[in-house]
Amino acid sequence: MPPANRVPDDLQHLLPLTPAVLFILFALAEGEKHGYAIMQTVSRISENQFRMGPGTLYTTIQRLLDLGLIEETESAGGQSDHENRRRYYKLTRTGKAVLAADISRMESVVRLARDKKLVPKTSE
Amino acid sequence: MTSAVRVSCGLYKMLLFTYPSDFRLRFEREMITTFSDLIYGEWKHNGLPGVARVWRSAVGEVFSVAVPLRLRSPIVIATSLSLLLSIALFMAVFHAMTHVCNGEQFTGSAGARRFRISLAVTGCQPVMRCDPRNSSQSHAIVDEVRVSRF
Repeated sequence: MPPANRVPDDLQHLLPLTPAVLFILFALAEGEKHGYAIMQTVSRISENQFRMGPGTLYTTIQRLLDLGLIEETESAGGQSDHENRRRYYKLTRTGKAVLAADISRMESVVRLARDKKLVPKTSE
Repeated sequence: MTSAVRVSCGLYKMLLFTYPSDFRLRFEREMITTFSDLIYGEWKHNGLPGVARVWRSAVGEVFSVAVPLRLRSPIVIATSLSLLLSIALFMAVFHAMTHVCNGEQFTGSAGARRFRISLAVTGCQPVMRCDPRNSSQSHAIVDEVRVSRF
């Protein structure tokens, strides 16, 4: 059985992740969400620096579903027709591994930048 | 506001026709639901500027998302190329005709005979004249090919 955080070779080409993919995976790392909740979370975690419309969101979701990085959950919507139309998505194990690999890549870039004094050291 | 959201969703549904049909089949209802949530949320928190921002983003995505998705289909690529080539060809012919109608002179020979031809497109008409010096001949012989507006 491969390690949990190992990115499959056929998905290595995804790294580094595009901003849309990174933020969607990031949002879903908090737990399963529907489209609008993903958009709100992305807006919050990026401090309104990254916004996307439904077109970008759902084309990216389609791609992530096809790649097996996220999956649709069985969560029932709610009482109203509006709620029933929602679909909920969650990260798969592969999705978590890809997100972890990209975060790790960024971490090493930041470490290198700090070593070269390109960014100020923060107190930790 | 509810009616404004409904109208916005109706318009957005029409905008979704720019996306490929298989994509629409899979995500249309969800996209409309998300769009209505967005419009409602923006209206509540940011008012009209927020709604305008959502619309600007939705229209922008037609060009940045829907058109590239459409262009992945081989049929669309072939049709687009064919249309572009047709337009280019039409423009080239139109450009040439414009020069012709402006009375530019063309010189050419066809064996022993040379013709003066006046051609017109919309408002011009072709004219062939015999060279007066050679009017006795059974066929027209002219010095040059000339096209002029009629």
